[in-house]
Amino acid sequence: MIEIDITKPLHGVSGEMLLEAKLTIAEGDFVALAGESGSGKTTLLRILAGLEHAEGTIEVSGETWQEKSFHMPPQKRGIGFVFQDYALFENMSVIENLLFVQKDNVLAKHLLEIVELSELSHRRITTLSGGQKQRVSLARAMMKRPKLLLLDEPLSALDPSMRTKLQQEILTLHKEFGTTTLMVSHDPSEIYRLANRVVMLEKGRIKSEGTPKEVLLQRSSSQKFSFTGELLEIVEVDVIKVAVIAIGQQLVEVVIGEEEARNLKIGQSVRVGTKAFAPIINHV
Amino acid sequence: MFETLLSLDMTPFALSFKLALITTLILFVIALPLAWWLSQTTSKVKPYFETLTALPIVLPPSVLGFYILFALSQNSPLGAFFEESFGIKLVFNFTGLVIASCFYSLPFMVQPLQSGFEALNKNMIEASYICGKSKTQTLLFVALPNAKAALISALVITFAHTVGEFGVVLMVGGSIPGETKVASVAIYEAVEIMNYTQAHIYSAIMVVLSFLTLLGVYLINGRMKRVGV
Amino acid sequence: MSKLEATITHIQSQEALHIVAFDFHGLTLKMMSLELPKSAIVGAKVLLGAKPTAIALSKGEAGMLSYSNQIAMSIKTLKAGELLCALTLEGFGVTLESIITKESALRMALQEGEKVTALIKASELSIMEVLDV
Repeated sequence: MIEIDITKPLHGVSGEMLLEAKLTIAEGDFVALAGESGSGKTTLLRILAGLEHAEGTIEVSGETWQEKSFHMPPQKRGIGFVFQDYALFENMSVIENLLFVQKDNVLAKHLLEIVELSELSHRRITTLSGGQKQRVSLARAMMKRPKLLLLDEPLSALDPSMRTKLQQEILTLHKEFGTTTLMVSHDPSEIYRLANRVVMLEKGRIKSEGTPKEVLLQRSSSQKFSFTGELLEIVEVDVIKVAVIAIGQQLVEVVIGEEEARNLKIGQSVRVGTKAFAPIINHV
Repeated sequence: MFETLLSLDMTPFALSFKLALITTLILFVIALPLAWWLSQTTSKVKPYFETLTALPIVLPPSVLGFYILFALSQNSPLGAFFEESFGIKLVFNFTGLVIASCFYSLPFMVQPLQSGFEALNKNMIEASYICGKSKTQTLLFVALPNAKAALISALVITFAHTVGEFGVVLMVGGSIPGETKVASVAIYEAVEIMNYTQAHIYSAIMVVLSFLTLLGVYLINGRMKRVGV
Repeated sequence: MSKLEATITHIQSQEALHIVAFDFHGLTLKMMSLELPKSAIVGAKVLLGAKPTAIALSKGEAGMLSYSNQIAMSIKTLKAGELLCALTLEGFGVTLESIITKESALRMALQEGEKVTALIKASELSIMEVLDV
C-alpha cells in the first residue's frame, strides 16, 4: 500500500497554486497521472522520487519515505525513474548504464532481452535512436527491482509505432517485476492500454480518479464518440449549414441546423459527438 | 645565433612548467568539489562564494601578491606557525610560489568546471541519485566523464595561466635563480639589463608554447563536439 | 440540434444497452443508448436532442411506423433550397428543426401552418444534458 498525503506550493505559468495530493495506491497497481500541463503531475512524481521536497507524508509498504522534516533521500528509496529525455549516462555503454545501478550481470542481460537490446549491449548511447534510448532507460530503472516505478511521459517523444511497442514492454516489466507503477501520460489510448487506474489532476488538485473507462469516457451526455476541436467556419450549403471543425490534425465537416448555428461562434472550442449507432467502421 | 640558443639558460622555463604542473594538480583537487558544489547548490551563500572565487581575475596581481606575502611571511601567525612547527618558509621560495599560484589561478579551474557541470542534463544527475549513487560517486562517475571538454579546458587554461603569471610570482617569490625565477620573471630581468636577444628568445618561446597549448585545447574541444562526447 | 425537455420515466437495460423512456408533455419518447450519464436516473429531467437531418415527417394517415418517437406538430417555417428543404416545427412549446429533401417536401405538398408528425428513431435521440434529479 502506498499512502500519499502531500502539499506543495507551485509557481506555475498560470500563477501560484497549491499541489494537494491525497492518494492511496494498492501494490501492483498501474496508475496513470493525467491532466493538463502545469497541473502538477510531474511535480508529484518528483516528490515521490525524493527529488523535490513537499509538506506531508509518504508511506510505501509500511516504510516512511517522508514525514514532517524527514525526507528519505532518493538514493534510499526503492524506485525506478524514467525521464522523458531518457537521462542516460552518455559516458557509458548500454550495459554499463544498467550495471552502474547494480553489478548484476544476469539481471542486466535479462532486462536487455526483454527490451530487445541484447545485440546493442556494448553500443555507445549517442549512437542509439530515441526509442532505443528509452528502452535502455526503462531497463536501467528496473535494475534496482523497484517497489515503485515512476515514468514521466516516457513515450511522448517517440513516434506512434515505437510507442505501441514500448507500451507493451512497460506492461511486461510491470507485471514480471510486480512493481507499482505511476506514469504521467497525456495519451488516452496509452492510459487505456496500460493503466488500471487514472488520477486526473487539475490545477494541483485531484479532479477525478477511477478506472480509465470511468475517467476518460465522456459521460456528460449519452453520446459515445466525443472529440474536442476548434470551430473554424460555418458554410451555408443550399438551405443547410456545414460546420468545419479542426480535430487534432484533421478537419471534419458536420451538418448543423439554424438553431445550432446561432449558438456557435467561430474560433470556439467545441465537442463533436455522435451516438454509437451512427458511425460506420471500414477497413483501413 | 645557434650558439646563443645553446648557451641559453632554460631553467626558468623548467621552473615555470614545474610550477604550473603542481599548481594545476593541487587546484584540480581543490576546485573539483568546489565547482561541483557551486553547480548544484541552491544555497543563498552561493553568490558570495562565486564572487570570492572570481576575485583573483579582477584584482591587480600586486594586491593579491601583497596579501599573500603579508599572510605567509614569518611575521604573520600563519608563516610563523609553519616556520616553527615544520621549519618551512612560505615566502621567497618555490613553496610560496605554489601557494600564491593556487590563489591566483583558482578561478581558471573553478569556472570552466562549474559551467561544464551546470550544462549537464539535470535529469542525468538525478537519474544517478535514483540509481543509488551518492553525490561524490555521481561527480566522479557521471558528471566528470560527461564534462570532458570542460575538464580539459579547465586543466589547460589553469596550466597556461600559471605559466603566464608574473606579478604575484615576483612579489611572493622574488627572482631566485632555480627557485623562484620563472620564465616571465626571467624575461622581465633580461629587459631590465637590456639583454634584448635573450628577452626576444624567451618571449618567442613563450608565444609559441602558449599558442600550441591553446590550439591544442580548441582542437580537442572541436573534435569532442563533433563526435558528441 | 433540436432540443426537448423531458423526464425519465423508465430505464430498461440489457448489459451495456439501455432503452430509456421519457415523458414529454404526456407523450412517451424512447431512446436507445449504450452508455448513460451517471446522473440519468428515473425522475431526472433531461434535455433531449436530435439532429435536424434525423427528423422525418409524416402527414395524414401513414399506416404503421417503426419510429418510437412520433410528435404531432405544425410547420412554422419552410425554406426550400435547390436540393433540400429546411423546416421548423412548432408544438408543445418547443421548436424542432427538420431537414428533408426538397423532392419529399414537394411530394408531400408541405405548407406553412400545416399539421405534421415529427418522427425520430430511438437511436437518433440523445440526452444532451441532465438538468436535475
